Amino acid sequence: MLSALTLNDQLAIALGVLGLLFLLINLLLLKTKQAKHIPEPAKEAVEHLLHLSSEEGKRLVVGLGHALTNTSFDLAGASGLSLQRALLKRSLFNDHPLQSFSGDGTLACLSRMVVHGAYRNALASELFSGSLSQLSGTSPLAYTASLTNYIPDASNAGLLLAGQMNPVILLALDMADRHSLPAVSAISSLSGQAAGFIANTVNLMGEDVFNAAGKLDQRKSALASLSAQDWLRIAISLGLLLGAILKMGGMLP
Amino acid sequence: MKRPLTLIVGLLSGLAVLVAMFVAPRGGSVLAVVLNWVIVVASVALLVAIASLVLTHLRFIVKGRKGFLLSIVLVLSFIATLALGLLLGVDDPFFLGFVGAIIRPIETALLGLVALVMMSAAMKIFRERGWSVLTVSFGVSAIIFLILGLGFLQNLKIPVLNEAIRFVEALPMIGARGLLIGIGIGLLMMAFRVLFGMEGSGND
Repeated sequence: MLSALTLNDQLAIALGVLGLLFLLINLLLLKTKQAKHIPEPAKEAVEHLLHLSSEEGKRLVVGLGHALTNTSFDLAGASGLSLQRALLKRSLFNDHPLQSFSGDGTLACLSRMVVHGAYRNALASELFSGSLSQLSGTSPLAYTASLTNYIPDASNAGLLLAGQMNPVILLALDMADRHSLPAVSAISSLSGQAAGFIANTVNLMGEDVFNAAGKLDQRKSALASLSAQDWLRIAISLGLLLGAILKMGGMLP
Repeated sequence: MKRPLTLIVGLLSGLAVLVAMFVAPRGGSVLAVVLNWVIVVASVALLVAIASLVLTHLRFIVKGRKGFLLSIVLVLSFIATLALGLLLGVDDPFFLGFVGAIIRPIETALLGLVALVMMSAAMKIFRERGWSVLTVSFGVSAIIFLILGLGFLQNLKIPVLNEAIRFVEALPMIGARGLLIGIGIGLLMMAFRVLFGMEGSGND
């Protein structure tokens, strides 16, 4: 059956199997709280926002993006949820709890489940309010307009963008800059990362976008997957080198 | 602790879809059925999210929270759109024209604003981050691609120049591929965490 697949499909399966293998090995090997492989910029940026929020007693605004099931199913659109959960664990009892906005119906429902779960796990269900996780539009422009409108509020400490967004999000980042609100963008789309680059933000790029939650969470599964990610990166680099050599030697078409 | 039955159903469904994707067209029928389920569930989720949004804003209005006038606008527009959609049908030309006449100018204005903000942010980058290798290379490459985008140099039809332009135009793709590999690795690990129930929703 495998021979019927294209070379790209076979490579994708091989990478998937390799990734799974690395993850399982790391789950078995890694001791909890051991985090030597994990890069720091993502963690530092998000922790800075958390400190600001708790020190000033102000609210952290999280934009979760607008593309999980809106146009096509895109798992990268849910990348902000793990970050939201990790942040909630540390800010549940702040004066102003974390406020998140989603631009996709499914994402809004999942985000609400995350918020509700966080309060329930902390035995504080009575503090949960549906308004802490809102749907703020059903199209990228409506989502951005709604989020941008919320930013100037004086009780906001910082803005965190995590999820799938397009360059229109620059409007929100610009508004945050105009109100001297520190912002971190962990956008999983290339065009969104480009927007984050030119805005005055701490911009996470590439796989860093997915690392911040793991580092903050400190759960064994998250740390193991970050370690496996490093191993996979080495394997891909070696594969690319091998491919280049084979191509130069005329052994690959 | 996550419920084992939920975890097993989630894991098996995820693996079934993954296998179906690779053995298409044989697994195509399975994929079509699952995708239809996803569409139904996503639509229901959207309805739930919209209902929750309207309820939240109704609560804001009742409590007289700061900015409740905007909540009134939201609720009234929602009711008007819903009533018109139910009365005339969502394919009715008047309904589509009515909604479009409001949404299109707003979206066009916002997109125009994005272009201006993008230009201003590109200028501000030098003030905020100073003159460094990164900012200078950003500025130079932006100017080069703006000039290439005009198409003037391509129209000169000089073979050596066209070859050089092709080389320069391929450069962003190389950087983009590097970033995409990184995103792909991160996403693969996230997919495994979701598939094996390690990600969770917090509602464990």
